Amino acid sequence: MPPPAARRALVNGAVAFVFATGVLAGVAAFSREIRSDRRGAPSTTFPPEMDRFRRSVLASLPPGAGVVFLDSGDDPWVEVLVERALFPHPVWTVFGPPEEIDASLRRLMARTRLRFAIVAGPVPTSARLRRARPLPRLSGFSSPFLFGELER
Amino acid sequence: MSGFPDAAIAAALALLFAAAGNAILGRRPAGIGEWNESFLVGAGAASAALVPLSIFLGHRALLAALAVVLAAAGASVLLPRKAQREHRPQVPRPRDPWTPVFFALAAAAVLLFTALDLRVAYRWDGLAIWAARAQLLHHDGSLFGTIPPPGSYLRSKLRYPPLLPLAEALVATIRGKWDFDALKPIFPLFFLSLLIGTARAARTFGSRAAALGAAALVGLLPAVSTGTNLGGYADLPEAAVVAAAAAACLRESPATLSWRSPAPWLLGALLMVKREGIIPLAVLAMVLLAAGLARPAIRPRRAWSALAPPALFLAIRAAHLLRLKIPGPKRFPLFSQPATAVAERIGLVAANAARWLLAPDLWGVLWPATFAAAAILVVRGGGKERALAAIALLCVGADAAPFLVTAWPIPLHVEQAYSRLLEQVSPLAVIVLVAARERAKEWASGGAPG
Repeated sequence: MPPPAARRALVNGAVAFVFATGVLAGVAAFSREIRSDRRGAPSTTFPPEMDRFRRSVLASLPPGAGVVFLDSGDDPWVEVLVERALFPHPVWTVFGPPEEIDASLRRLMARTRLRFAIVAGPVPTSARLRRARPLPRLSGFSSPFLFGELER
Repeated sequence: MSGFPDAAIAAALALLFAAAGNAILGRRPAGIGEWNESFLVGAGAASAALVPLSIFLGHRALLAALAVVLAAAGASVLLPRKAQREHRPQVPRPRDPWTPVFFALAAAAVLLFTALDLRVAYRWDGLAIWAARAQLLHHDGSLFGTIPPPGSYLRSKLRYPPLLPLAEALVATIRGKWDFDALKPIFPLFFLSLLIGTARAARTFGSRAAALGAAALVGLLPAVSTGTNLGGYADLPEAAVVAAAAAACLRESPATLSWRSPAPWLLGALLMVKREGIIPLAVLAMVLLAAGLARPAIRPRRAWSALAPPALFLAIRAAHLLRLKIPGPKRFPLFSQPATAVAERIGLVAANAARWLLAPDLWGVLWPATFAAAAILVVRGGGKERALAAIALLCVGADAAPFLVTAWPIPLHVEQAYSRLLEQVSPLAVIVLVAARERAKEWASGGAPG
C-alpha cells in the first residue's frame, strides 16, 4: 500500500480534478449562453410583431371561434407561439409538407365546423380561402402568413 | 424580460409556500435549509390540493388553492416558538480556507443563472407544455377546464403533474394579469433551492466547506444551470425536490419519523412536479424494503404514519389522471413485444446512454466520478452510504429503461430526454461524491472502513 502522504495526494488530486472539470464546464456553458444572449437570442416569449399579428386575427374571429393553422414551414415553434397568442380561441394545427396538409385538412374539415384558417408558407390546394389577407410577418420566421375563411 | 415587481411577487409566493409548509410540518424553521424544505413541502401540498379543489370547486379551484395557502401561512404564525437554546461558549473551529471560495462559486452560479433566466425567453417545453398549462389554469381556474382539440400537442400534456403550472398561474393571479415573460423569476428560486438542498444533504457526510463545494458543483453543471433550464423546463424544480428529499431522508431519525416529518412530504412532492418523480420514489422504496428485509428495524408505531403523505399524493395523481380521461401518447408500444425484442435493444440503449453520461460539455466528469465514488461507498461505506449509492445508480439505470421500449428512434429519444432525466438525479450524484470523499480521506489517513 502506498504511504499516507501519497494516498492523501491521490484523493486530493482526484477530488480537485472532478471539481475543476465541473467548474470549467460550467464556466464554458455560462459563456456560451452569454454569447448567445449578446448575439440577440430572443429575450421575450413573443416576437415584437406578435401583438399586431394577434390583433389582426382577432379582428375577424368571432368570440370562441376556432382556427386551423396550416403550417408547411420548417419551424414548428411558430405553431406554439400562435396557439398561445390566440388562446383561449382553440387552434388546430396541421403541420407538414403541402400534400400531407391537404389530406389532414380534408379529414379535419369533415370532422369539424372550422371556418377560419391561418396559413404559413404556400397555400395548400385543398384550402380555398375567402377574403384572404396577409398577416404581419414575425421576425425569426421566413414564412409569410395569410388569414382567411375556409370555403367548404 | 421580467422586472423587479415580478421577481418580488415570485419571492412572496415562495415565502407563502414556505409558511404553509411550516404549518404542515408544525415547526418554525431554524435555518435556511429548513426554510427550503418548508417551501417545497408547501408547494407540493398546494399542488396536490389543487386536484381535489378542481374536482369539487370547478373554476374557483385556483383561487381556493391560493386561499388555502394563505390560510395555512396565517396558521403558521400561531406555531409555538422554539425554546431558546442555552447559550454555550463557542468553541473556535479552524477556518477552512476553501469555504469562502466555494461560497463565492455557488453565489456566482446563482447570480449568473438568475441574470440569464430573466433575459432568456421560454424554450420549447417551457412554453409549449408548462407555461401553456399555467395559462389554461389561470384562464379556467381549474385543472379540468379547457381541453385542447384532439391532435393538439398540449392535449396529452395535461396529464403532467401540476406544481410548476400552479406556481406560474399563482404569480399571474397575484400580479393580476397574464404575461409569459413575468413568470420567469420563479426559476431562480428553484435553482437556489436546489443548491441549498444539495448542500444540506452533503453536510450530513462532510464539512461545511464540502457542503458548499457540493452546492457550487451542482450549480455549475451545464446540464443543470444552462440550456433548457433557462427556458422554463420542470426538470430544475424536480431536481430541487430530489435534493431536498435526499437531505430530509439522510437527516431523518427513525425515532422521530412521523407524518409531520419533512421527508415523507418531500417524497410525495416528487410526484407533483414531473412524472419521472415516481422513479426515485420507487427506487427509494425498493432500497428501504431491501434494507428492512435484511435487517428488520424496530420502529415506533408513529413512524408508519410517514407513509401517509406519499400514499395520499399517489392517490391524488391517480385521481387527476382518471378525471382527465385523456389517453397518453402511445410512445412505448414495445411493452407488448416479446422480451427478446427488448433485449436486442439493450446494447443500443446502453451505448447511447453512455454517450450522454460522458458528455463533458454537460457534466464535466460527474458521472464517471459518481460510478467510482459509488464503488468506494459499497466497499468502505456504512449502511446509509451504501443505500445512497444504490439509489443514485439505480436511478441512472431506471431513467434509461424506458428507451428499451420506446417507439421513437433510440438515439433521438435518448438525446431528447436522457440528460434531462439525469439532471433530476444529479444532486444525488454530487452527494455520493461528498460521501465517498470522506471515506477516501479515512483510507488515506489509514482509518478503518465504516
